[in-house]
Amino acid sequence: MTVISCVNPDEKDLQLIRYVKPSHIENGSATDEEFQLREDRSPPEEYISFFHSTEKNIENKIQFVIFALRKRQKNFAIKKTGGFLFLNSTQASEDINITNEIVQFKKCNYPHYGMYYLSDDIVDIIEAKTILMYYSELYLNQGLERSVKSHNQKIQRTV
Amino acid sequence: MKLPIEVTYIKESPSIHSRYENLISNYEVFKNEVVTTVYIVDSESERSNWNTTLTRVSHDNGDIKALIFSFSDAFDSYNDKDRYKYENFFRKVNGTYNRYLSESEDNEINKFHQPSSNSFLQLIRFIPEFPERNLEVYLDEMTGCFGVTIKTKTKGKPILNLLMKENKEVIFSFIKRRHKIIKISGRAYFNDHLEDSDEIRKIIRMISE
Repeated sequence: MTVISCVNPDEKDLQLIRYVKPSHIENGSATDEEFQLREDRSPPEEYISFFHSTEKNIENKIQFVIFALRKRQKNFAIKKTGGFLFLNSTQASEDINITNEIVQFKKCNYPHYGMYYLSDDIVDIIEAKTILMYYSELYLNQGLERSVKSHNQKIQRTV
Repeated sequence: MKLPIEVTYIKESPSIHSRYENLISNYEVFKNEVVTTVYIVDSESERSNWNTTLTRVSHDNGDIKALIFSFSDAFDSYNDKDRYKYENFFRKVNGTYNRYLSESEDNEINKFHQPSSNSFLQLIRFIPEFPERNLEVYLDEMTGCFGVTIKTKTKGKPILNLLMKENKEVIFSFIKRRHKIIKISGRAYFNDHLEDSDEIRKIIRMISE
């Protein structure tokens, strides 16, 4: 088994991206559920997963993330009604951690990043999730459908 | 038949009468009452109506789906405006609940927490005070508790997040930016007396101001 060591990110204004499933989207925004850590997973989730991309535009960044997701999980399904959220993790973690250390972003096997909750106080968690929602910007797949579709076809051709 | 509403009788006052004429015509005024003018205290009557419904609908079962059906039946006696508001809220709750169950069922390894009926009752308790727009209902997978997020597009694009705990606590967090981030978070407790429910306005007012 490969042990992945996580390190503190050294980038400034680190923009991270995360796939959002359709049920976690309401009125064009990611819901609170998107930032819930599911401890009842097998194994339990320790962090919320994100990816980083150095691509220049939104569509290419998303395609890069789809590629990275499928590299980790071969048949990862991207739903048409899903989306991708973009988060300035530097700003979000600065604002969340002003008074208490509540979250920590770590680089775990680039381009993958994990967001860890350091507090188990429910008020801290709700506050952190609300700030994460506040800073998240969501791009719906529907608008990017064509590019995602062509990317999927490209992947199918190369498999 | 329309439910009787809570009204305050005041002495004849043409200005107040004309102001509330439209509202009065929406309600059934008790025929045998000799009154000159009826002044309707809108929010109080809605709260009082809802308290009546909350008391009348049996909570013994504890099954959320059954509770949703029972409450939905009760809206038949509401006026059009209130029925629309309550049905719309219950549609959101029902959608969130069904989605949560179906995702939990689809996932063979990981079952989510069973949704909490106490949290459900705590959530619907505050419908009269909740805004009708910009509100989304969610279910917390870690606790099975219901919550709402209220977002507005006013200056600073504030967000209010409320999680209804089983023990009647409401965990809240209000976030907005002015020059820098503003955070107001904490826990509130509104006991189990329905007439104290409207105190939640003190929290909701943060987003509506």
